[in-house]
Amino acid sequence: MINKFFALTTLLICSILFCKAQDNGDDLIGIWEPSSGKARVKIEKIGNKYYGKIVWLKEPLDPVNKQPKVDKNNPDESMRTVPLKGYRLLKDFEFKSKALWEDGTIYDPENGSTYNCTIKMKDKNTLDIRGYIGVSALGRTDVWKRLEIAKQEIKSN
Amino acid sequence: MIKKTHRFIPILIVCLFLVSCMREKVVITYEIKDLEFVSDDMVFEGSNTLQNKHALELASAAGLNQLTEDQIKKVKLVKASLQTTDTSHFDNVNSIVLQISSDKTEMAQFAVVNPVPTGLDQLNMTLAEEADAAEAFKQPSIYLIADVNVKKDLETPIRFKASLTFEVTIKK
Repeated sequence: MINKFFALTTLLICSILFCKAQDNGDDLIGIWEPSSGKARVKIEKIGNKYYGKIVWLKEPLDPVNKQPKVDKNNPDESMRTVPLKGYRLLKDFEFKSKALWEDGTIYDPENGSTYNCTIKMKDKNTLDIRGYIGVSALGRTDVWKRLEIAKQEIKSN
Repeated sequence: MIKKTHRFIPILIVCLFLVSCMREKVVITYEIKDLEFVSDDMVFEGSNTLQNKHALELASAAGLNQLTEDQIKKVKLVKASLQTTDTSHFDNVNSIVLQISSDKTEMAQFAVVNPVPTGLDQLNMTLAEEADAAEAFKQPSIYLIADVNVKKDLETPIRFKASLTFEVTIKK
């Protein structure tokens, strides 16, 4: 009887702790890799919102001019010299609840387009990043994985 | 009699609309001088975020007692320069991107220097043509975020001051 009570109490405490862990907006902070593996993105908090910037590129140099890649598709021509390394492609995410961040945007440097975006944390190391235009149903989801990597590895390029 | 009065209502509405359109629009200059950006003590190779918060004093700059959100029509950054007193100048830096946001508005890029020339104490930034900070300027304060791309790990902080000039179009 005592064992049963102890087991139930432990289960209850674990459930509460798990819910608390999923209820913290700062769980999003860290370094993440999109499914393509072409980049790594560091998510950080500024004010009360979350932002993600590129900290590593698989191919950091432009194949044509052999210079570090820049945002050559930016709709504002005057900003086409902004480097892709360090580029903030996730912007203005607000933590809602239950591992959900909304009201942000994601930028695709390959076509210069910005999409509405939501981030859902499936578990502490997996994100569903959904970019869409207009309504969320008309969009695409990418799965990002958290990286627990040494700084030396990020610096490798 | 009542019907005659009603005939004038659409004319009155049109007149009010025209009067509101004719309200004087003026462009004022708003300057943020020597806003200091300082990094952490340790700076790592790659992109580092330096930020500062600035409390806006737009009404006093416009010579008004009060300025409502509706009166702020357009805010364009027309000059951005960075100054350092660091002996290494900006030589450890590859690029700097300046962005503006507020608690209620989206972050947007406003200026960039890439690549950073070596041996200079002062940099003039290239300005975004299309960026409009009007929504951010409707808030009490704005965040200025400098993404500084550093060439190598540094054990001393990066430190520089930014002077920014905005042209603000307001309806008086």
